Amino acid sequence: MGPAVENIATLMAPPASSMDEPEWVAAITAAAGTPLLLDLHNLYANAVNFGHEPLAYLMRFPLQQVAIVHISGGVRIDGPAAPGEPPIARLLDDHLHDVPDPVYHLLEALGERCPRLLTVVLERDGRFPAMGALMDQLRRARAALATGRARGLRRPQRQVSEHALLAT
Amino acid sequence: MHSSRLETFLARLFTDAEFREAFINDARQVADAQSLDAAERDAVLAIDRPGLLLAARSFAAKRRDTGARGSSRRLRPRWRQLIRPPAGPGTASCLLQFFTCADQRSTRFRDVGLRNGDSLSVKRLIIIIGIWFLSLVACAAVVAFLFVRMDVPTALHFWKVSRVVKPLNGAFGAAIVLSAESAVILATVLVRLVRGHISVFGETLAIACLTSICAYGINSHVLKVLFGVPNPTDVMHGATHNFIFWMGSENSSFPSGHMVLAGAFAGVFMRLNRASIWPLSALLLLAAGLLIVGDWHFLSDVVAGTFFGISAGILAGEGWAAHLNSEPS
Repeated sequence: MGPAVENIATLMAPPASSMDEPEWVAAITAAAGTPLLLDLHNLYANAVNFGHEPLAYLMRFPLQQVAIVHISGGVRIDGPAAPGEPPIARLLDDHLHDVPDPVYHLLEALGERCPRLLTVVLERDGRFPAMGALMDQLRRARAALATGRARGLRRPQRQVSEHALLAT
Repeated sequence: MHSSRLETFLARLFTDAEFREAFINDARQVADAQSLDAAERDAVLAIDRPGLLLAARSFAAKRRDTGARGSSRRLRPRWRQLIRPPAGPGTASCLLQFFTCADQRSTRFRDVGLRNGDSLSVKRLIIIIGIWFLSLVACAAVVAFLFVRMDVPTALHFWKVSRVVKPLNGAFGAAIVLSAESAVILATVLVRLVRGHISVFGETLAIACLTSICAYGINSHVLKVLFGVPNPTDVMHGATHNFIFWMGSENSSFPSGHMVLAGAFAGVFMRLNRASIWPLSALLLLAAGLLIVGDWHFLSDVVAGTFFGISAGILAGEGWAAHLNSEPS
């Protein structure tokens, strides 16, 4: 497989934008002719940070182009507070925490709808837990993907085979 | 919407703290000064300001981290690999962070030790404390045996030979070593101030020297005074080889200040890289041998000093590893 385009996480809404993120990602992958590396935690963080419903947000991405999936964790950080108001919290994708439950739900939904063979990579860059805890996250990812694939069996035929890798 | 003017403006907003602060204080005035067209100006004025501040903070933290580590990779790649801290926080890190982060005790402790269902951390903590206490008991037993059976005969055995190595005292006296360590700390602080960052090895070296000096101070002013064991020279001239509690001084023999100095310095490096354990152990053994052959210390002094020094060094190394693991990403 050649290069792939990955969606990024951002703490601020990109200024001066004429497209939203799913439209932009769809346009880029279509123009470049590359598969999409879909980082589900990036997607989840952007959805949470900018008031989208994560599952609906996922459905707007070009899921038929997804070939690789990243899952990871993040942490909520507090931003500045306006006088008399609570601080604005944003979700930072830091690869230092466990994969949150909604990301598994997104993976399940993706497995149901994505027609391609998927490689799922668990990203972790520090604060490593015990190896067993990492393996548990991989197992949950496999289970979520299998559940999604099972649900999608009624859809048109496709190749169903996955790899799950652990990357740090 | 896309122009080089807008991109430049956004890049500066993202990376230039003063410019960003001016923009937050008076966005309209700053935007007007940038010769943006009307649509760009409106887009800039509608910018997501909390997001901008958070993103800039995260970016600055990453740039600091990359700057410090990137330069050390270029300058000393092997040292960087040699002293790279352990991947995850150790149990002692959990303990240290628990006691040092008073305002966030519960969350911090959970963050570094008990998250991810890692219920073994508490068990591991208990095991490590247990191992340390067992080592303390074993060390005390060895020290007691050496003190009663071996110290004076060994000192007598080396009394004549010791003249040969006595000149080393001038070169490696505690004052010389402490001065050298102070100079290293001062140099690393100056480099940090001038360059804005120092290598990971430089940080470790500074921490090792600082730990060494602190442990030496505690040993000289607390432990030696507490135990009050006369040094070999005094014993050879008629003093009793015995503990005289709370009557000691800096010239007392037990535990060995030199071994505390060396052990604490080595302990920091030993904690952070297992590959350094054997070479540093060999150097510690050499130092211990010289102290005994030169009749500067009894065997029991050397064993106790090594144990105290290495314990202090390992604790400091854990603290540094905990600090690295708690840095913002």
